Amino acid sequence: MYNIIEGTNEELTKIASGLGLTYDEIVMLRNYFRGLGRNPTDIEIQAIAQGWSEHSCYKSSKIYLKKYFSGLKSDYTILTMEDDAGVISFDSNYAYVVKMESHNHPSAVEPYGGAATGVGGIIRDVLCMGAQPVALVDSLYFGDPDNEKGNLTERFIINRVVGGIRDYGNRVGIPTVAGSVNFNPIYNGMPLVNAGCIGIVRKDRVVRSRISKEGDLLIVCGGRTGRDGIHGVNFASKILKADNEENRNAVQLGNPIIKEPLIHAILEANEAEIIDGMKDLGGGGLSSAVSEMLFAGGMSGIINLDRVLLKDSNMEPWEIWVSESQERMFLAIDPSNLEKIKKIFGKWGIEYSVIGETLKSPNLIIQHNGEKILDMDLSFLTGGPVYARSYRKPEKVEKTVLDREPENYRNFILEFLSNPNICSRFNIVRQYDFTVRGNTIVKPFAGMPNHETHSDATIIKPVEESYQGLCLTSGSIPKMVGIDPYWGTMHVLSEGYRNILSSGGTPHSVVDALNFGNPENPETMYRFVESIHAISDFCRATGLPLVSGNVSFYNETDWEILPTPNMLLIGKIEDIRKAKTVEAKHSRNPVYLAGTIIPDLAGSQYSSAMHTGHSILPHMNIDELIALKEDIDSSKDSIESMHDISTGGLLMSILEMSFGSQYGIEADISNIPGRTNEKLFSELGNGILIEVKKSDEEKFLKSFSRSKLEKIGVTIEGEVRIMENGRYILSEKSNKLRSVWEKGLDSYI
Amino acid sequence: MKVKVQIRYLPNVEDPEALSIKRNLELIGYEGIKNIYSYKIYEFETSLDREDSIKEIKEITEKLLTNPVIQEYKIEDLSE
Repeated sequence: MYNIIEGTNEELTKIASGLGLTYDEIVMLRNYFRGLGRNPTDIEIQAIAQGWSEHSCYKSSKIYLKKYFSGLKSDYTILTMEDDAGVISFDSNYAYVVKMESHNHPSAVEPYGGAATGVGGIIRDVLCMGAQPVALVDSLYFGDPDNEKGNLTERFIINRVVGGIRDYGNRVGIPTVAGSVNFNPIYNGMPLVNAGCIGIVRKDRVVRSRISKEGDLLIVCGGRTGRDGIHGVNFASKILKADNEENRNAVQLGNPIIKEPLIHAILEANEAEIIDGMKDLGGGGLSSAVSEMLFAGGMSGIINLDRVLLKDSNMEPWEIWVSESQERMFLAIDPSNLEKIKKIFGKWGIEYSVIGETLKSPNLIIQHNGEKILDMDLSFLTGGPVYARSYRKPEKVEKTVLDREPENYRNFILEFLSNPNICSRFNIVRQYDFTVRGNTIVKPFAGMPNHETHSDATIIKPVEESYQGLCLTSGSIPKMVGIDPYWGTMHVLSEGYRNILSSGGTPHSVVDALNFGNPENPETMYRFVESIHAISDFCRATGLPLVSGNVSFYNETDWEILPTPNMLLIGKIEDIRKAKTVEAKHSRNPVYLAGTIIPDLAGSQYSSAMHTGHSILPHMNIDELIALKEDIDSSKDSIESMHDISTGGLLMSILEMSFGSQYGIEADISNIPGRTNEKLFSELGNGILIEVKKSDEEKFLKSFSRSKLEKIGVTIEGEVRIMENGRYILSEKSNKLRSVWEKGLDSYI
Repeated sequence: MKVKVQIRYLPNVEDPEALSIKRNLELIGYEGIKNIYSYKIYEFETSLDREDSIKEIKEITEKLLTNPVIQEYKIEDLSE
C-alpha cells in the first residue's frame, strides 16, 4: 500500500520514480485521492502508472498530433485515428484495415521474442476490427552489423529479430510481404522493429474498439495471463539502460500456435455477428484494454479478477491487471450469445472466461477474493496528463559541402554494391513466407526465378472475386530526416509514393510509425513536430488520408537515434493483371528518366561511403510528384517496367532494373544536370526510370506531357553500360555486378 | 576436444515449444504430464586444448547463441 496522501515530497518522488511517473503526476494523484479521502490500492496506482505512461496516453505527442493530423480523411475512409486500426473502403462490399506499430524496446532486450510479439500484436490490432489479416509488413533499423559492443552483438540482434518475424509470421500463416532494412551505427544495441498488418473485412462486419451497451458480458480469450510482460509500457516509456534487472519481466516470446486458431475463432464469431465490441490485449494488458474500450463507449464495468485464467496461480491482483501476456483478445457480447460463442471457442480449442460485465456508471469497479480493490472514475484513469512539450530548433552551422569523386568509378561501384544498405535483401526476406494464402501477386522480389531483383511495392489481391489489389511499401530515410526533419520526411513520403506509382498502383492511404528520442528534450520534440508537420502537409497536398499510426519515444541509451518516421503507404490497383514490375522486359526498348534528380548528395549512401557530413537538405517538389502520377496514369499501357530512384541513386535503379532478367541497360547520363557522382548517386528528387515499349514510344511521349522527361538509354542484352560525355563510367556484365550485390549480407545473416 | 553446450530458458520465461507439446499430448490422451522444458544442445569438436576450447566456446555461446535476459547455459567437457 502506498501512502501518498500524507507522503512527504521525498517519499512522493521515490514512489513516482518506481512507477515511471513524474513528480507533477504523483502530485495530481495525491490531490485526487485526498479528494476521495483515502490512499490508492496497489492495483489502482499500478493501473494509473500504466494508463498514464507515454506509451498508453501519448501525453507528449497528443496535442501536436491533434494539431497536425486532424481532418486528414477522405471520402473513402471509414475509421481513421479512432479505433485500434484504420478502416478504409476497398470496394462496395469490403474495407481494408491497416495499422503499423513499433516494438523497439522489447526487441532491444530480447530480439527474437520482441520482434515475434511485435508481429503478434499488430495482427491482433487488425483482427480486433473484425478483419482477416492478409499481409504483414516489417521495417527494421539495425546498427553496424560488425558492432560487438553492448549487451548483445549486432549480429545476434539482426539474426534474432529476423528469426522472430520469420517464426511468428510463417507459423501463423500470414505472408510477410513488404518492408525495409536499414543499417546505421546510430542504432547499435537499439534496433527499431516496426511491424505493420493489413486485413480485409466486409463493411457490415467491422467491429468497434468500444462498447456502449449495458449488461454486456466481458470476455478474455486465447492465451492465459501470466507474470510475463509486466510493466512493458512503463518500460517502453523510459530510456534503456544496460543491465537493467527490470527489463526481464517485460520479456515475452509469443506463441503463434495459439494465435492461429484464435484468429479463426474470432472471425467465425464475427461472421455470426455476436461481437459487440473488441480490443486486443497488448501494451498495458487488461488495464488498458478494459478501461479504454469501456470509456470510449461511455460505459463502465464491474470486473472480477478471480475469473481471469492464469498461468501462475499466485499472482497479485495488480499483476493480473497489468500483465501483457500475449495472444489474448478482449470482447463484449450480449449474454444471450454466450452459448454460441462457447461453441465456437470449443470448436477451435480456445480457452476463455467471462471476467465481468458493462455498467452504466462513471466508476470502474474491480473485485478480487470478494473485496472491492479498485473503484475509480474512468475518465480520470484513462485521461492522463497532457504536455505541451516545448521545442527548439537545434543550432547548427549550415554549409554547402561537395562530395569527392572516387578515383575509379568501376572499383568504387563494385565495393558499393556489397554495402549492407545497398546490397540485396535476399538473406533476410527469403526467410519469410511471402506467398502463403496465395494472394501475393507482385512479390518482394521480381524477375526471372532464382534471378530476381528488388520490387518497389508488393501487391496483394485480398478479395477472391475481385481483380483489385493493394500495393504496399514501407520505410524511412533516417539520414535525411536527421539533416532536416521536415524535408527529410517529405522525401520519405515521396519515395513511398513513387514506389506505388512504379508498381502500377494509385496511392490510397498513409500510416505512420514515428520513432524518436526523448520528448523531454526540446530539440527532439522539434524534430518530432517538424516531421508530423511534413506528413500533414504531404497528405493535404496529395489528398491522401492518414489512417492510423503509432508514436514511440525514448529510443535512446547513451545517445539518441536518428529521427525515424517510418511511413507505410498503401496503394490501390484496379486490375492486378496490369501491375508493373521492376525488371527490364525486352531488348532495345527506350529507357526514360521521368521527374528530376536533385544534384545533391545529402543523406545519400554515397555520402556515407565518402564520410561527408551534410547539413542542408534540398526541398521536395510536391507538384512535380503529383504531375508524375498523372503522367503515369495516362501512359500505363506504353510502359513495360518502372523503378523509382531512391537508395543508391540512379546507378542502383539502372542496376536493379538489369538484375531481374537477362536484359541490361545502356545509359548516357550526359544531359542530366550535376556532377558525375551527383547524377549517379543522388537520392533526392522525384525520379522514376521507365522502360517504354519500343512500338509505343511516340504515344508515350504524347501522353507523358506534364513531367520532365529525359531519354537516357536503351535496354540491351546482359550488360550494363553507363556513359558520360563520350566515355564509359561503367561497362560490365550485369551478372558480375549482380553476384556482388546478391552476396552483400552473406557474412552477417 | 569435444564440448557440449546446453541452453535453456530461465525460470518464468514462457517456453512456447514445450507448451505446444504439452497441449498436444493432452489432446491425444496423455494426462499425466505436469510440465515440459525444452533445451537446446550444441556439441562442438575443437582442435584446441581444454582451457582454450572452453574459453572460446563460452565466448561463442555468449556472443551468438544465447541472450542472458531469457536463457542460461552450461558448458560440459565431453572428452572426460
